[in-house]
Amino acid sequence: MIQAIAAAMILVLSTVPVSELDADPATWNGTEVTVTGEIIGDYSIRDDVVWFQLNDDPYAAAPLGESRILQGGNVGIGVRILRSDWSPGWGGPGRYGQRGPIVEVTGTFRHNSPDDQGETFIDGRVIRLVEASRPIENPPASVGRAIVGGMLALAGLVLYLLGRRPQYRRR
Amino acid sequence: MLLKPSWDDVRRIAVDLGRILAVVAGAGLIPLLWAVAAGEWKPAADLLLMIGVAAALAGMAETWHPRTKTQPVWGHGLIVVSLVWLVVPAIGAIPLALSGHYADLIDAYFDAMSGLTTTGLATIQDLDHLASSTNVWRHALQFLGGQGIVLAALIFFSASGALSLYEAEGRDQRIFPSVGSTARFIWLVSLVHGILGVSALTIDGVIAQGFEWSRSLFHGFTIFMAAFDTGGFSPQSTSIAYYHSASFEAVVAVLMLAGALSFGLHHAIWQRRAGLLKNIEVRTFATTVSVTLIVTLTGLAVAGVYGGTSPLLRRGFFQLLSAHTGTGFATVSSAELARWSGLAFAGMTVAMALGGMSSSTAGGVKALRIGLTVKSVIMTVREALTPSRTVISRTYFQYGRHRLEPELANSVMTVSLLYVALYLLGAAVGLAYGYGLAESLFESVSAAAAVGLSVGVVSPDMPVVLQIIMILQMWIGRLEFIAVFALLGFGLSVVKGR
Repeated sequence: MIQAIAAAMILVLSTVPVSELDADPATWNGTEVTVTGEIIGDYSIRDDVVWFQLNDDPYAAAPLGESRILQGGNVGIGVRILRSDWSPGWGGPGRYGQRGPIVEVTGTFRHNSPDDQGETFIDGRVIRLVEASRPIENPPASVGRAIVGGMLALAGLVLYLLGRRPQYRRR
Repeated sequence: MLLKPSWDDVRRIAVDLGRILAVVAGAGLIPLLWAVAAGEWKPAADLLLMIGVAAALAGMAETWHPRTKTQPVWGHGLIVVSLVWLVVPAIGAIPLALSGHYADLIDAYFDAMSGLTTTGLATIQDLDHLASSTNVWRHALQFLGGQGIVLAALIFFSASGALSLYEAEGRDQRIFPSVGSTARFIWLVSLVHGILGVSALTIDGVIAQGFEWSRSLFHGFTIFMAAFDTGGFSPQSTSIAYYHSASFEAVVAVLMLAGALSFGLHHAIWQRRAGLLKNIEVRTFATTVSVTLIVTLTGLAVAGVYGGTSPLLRRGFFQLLSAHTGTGFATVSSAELARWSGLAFAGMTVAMALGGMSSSTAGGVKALRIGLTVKSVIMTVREALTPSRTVISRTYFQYGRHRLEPELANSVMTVSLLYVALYLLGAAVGLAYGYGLAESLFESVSAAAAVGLSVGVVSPDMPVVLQIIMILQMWIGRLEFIAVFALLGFGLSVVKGR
C-alpha cells in the first residue's frame, strides 16, 4: 500500500502526462519533456538502443490486480533510450502478475518524426529508476469455479455420449 | 399465413446449435492449456467454467438428437447461424467478465462479439496487465469467428443441412462440390498461413526486435490470429504501434491481405489457375484499394501530417490496408487518427465501408457486390444511351463468364443498400449522443463492416445504447442480413403463427 501511494505521488509530480502529449502533439513536438510511468510489456533490445512502452495511466500507481478498481484504458507512449542507459536490474516489464519498473524519462518528444519513419515517441536522454518492478498479488484462483466448470464439462460429455448411444437412439 | 414452428423444429435447431457449442468448448482448451503452462490459475478456473457451460449446453442439446425427426431445411440453417453468433459471444464472454478487466457484462459481451465478428473494437480496461491466456482466448475468438465456427462444426459433425449452415454464415462460394471438403480446405489454408505467419512474426520479434523467445511466440501467435482473420485485437493497448518495426508491419500487412482474399481465390492461386486477374472481384478489390490509397495519401500529403515520403507511405499504406481489409490494426493512436481530416479521413472511411472479398474473413459490402453493382449500373446506362436494337452484353467474369441476371443485380444492390443503411443507423445514434458527424460515421462503419479502427468513441465510458447498437451492427454486418431476417421471421412465427 505504501509503495502504491509513493508511486502515485511520483506520478502526480510527473511534468507532462502522456495524455497531454497525445492531445496536442504539435505544440510539444521537438521539446524536452519528462514523463514518469511504468515500463510495460517487453524490452525491445536492438543493437545500441532499447525500445519500451511507458504507461503513465493510473494502473502504474495502483495495479488493477491489487486495487481491483477500473480506471479506464491504458495510456502510454513508446520510449527509445541508449542501450548503455538500460539496466536488467530494473526487473521485468509490467504484465499480468507483475508491476513493471517505474522510471522517470527525460527526452525529446518526437511526433510523426520524419527521421524515424513517422514514429511518435520520446527520444530518451536521461532515465532514472524510481522503483524496480515487483510482483502483483492478483486475486487467487476460484476453486469453486474450477469445480463447477469441471463438473459441467463432465456432465456435458456424459450427456453427449448418451445422446450418441445406439440404444438411446432406438428409444 | 405464418406457420407456428413445431417442437421438432426447435429440437432440430437446438441440436445443431449444441454441436457448434461443442466446438467452442474444444477451442477453449487452447487458452486453458496456455493458462496451465503459464501458471495463470485464476484465468484457468474462469476458462474451465466457460468450457463447462459450453459443454453442458452441447451435451443437453445432443440428447434431443434421437428424438428429432425433422430433416434440416434452409430456414433451420439460417436460424442456427444467427443464434450461434448471439450465443457464442455470451459464453465466450464468461472468462472476460470474470477477468476483472471489464466494468460490466455488456462490456464483456461487446468485446466477445467484437472478437467473434472479427471487428476488433474493445472496451477492455488495463489490457496491458491482462493474463496471457485470457488474451489468447480473445484472439482465439477472432480466429473462430474469422474461420467460421459453423465451418469448424461441419468438419467434426456430418450435418445433412450442411449447405444451408455454410451459406448462412455469409459464405456463398463452395470451392469443392462437398461443403465438408470446402471446410477442410479453408482450414488447411489457415493452417499453412498459420505456420508461416507465426514463424515469421516470432522470428522477427526475436531478431529484429530483440524480444525473448517465449514472449515473441506469444506476440506472433496472437497477432497472426488477429491479422489473418482480419480481427484487429492486439495483446498490447497500442496495437501494432507497440512494435516500432517496419519488418513486423510488412509481415502483418501480408497476413491482412491474405485474410481479405476469398478462399476461392486462395484455391485458384494454389492451383496456379490462369486468368485470375480477369475476375471481377480481383479487379474491383485492386481498384478500390488503389483509389482509396491514393485519396488517403493525397489527404495526408496535403495536410502535411508526415514530413517525408517514406513515413507517409509506411503509415498511410498500413492504415489504409488495415481499414480496407477490415482488420483494424493501428500504427497511429486513436487521437492521431482523428486528426486525419479531409481526404485522408474520407479515404479511410470509404475503404472500411467497402471491405474485402466475399467468402473471406473480412467484412464490409465486399468487392464482388461492389463490382457487380457498378457493372449493372454501367449496363443500364449504356442500354439507355444506345438505340433499342443494340444488344448490350450483360456478362461478367468470375472464374468463368456468367450472365448478370436482373435478379442477381437486384440482390447485390439490395444488400449493398442495406449495408449503407446499417452504417447510417449507427452514425445517427452517435450524432444523437452529441458526437460529431465524421467520428460518428467512422465508428459506425468500423463496427458494421467489422473493422475495429476507432477515433475514440468506443471506450469503457461510451453510452450503453450506442454500445448495444454497435453490438447489433457487428452481428448483422457479419451475417450479411439474411440470417438475421430469418431469425426475426422465426420469432414472429413463434408469436403470431398458427
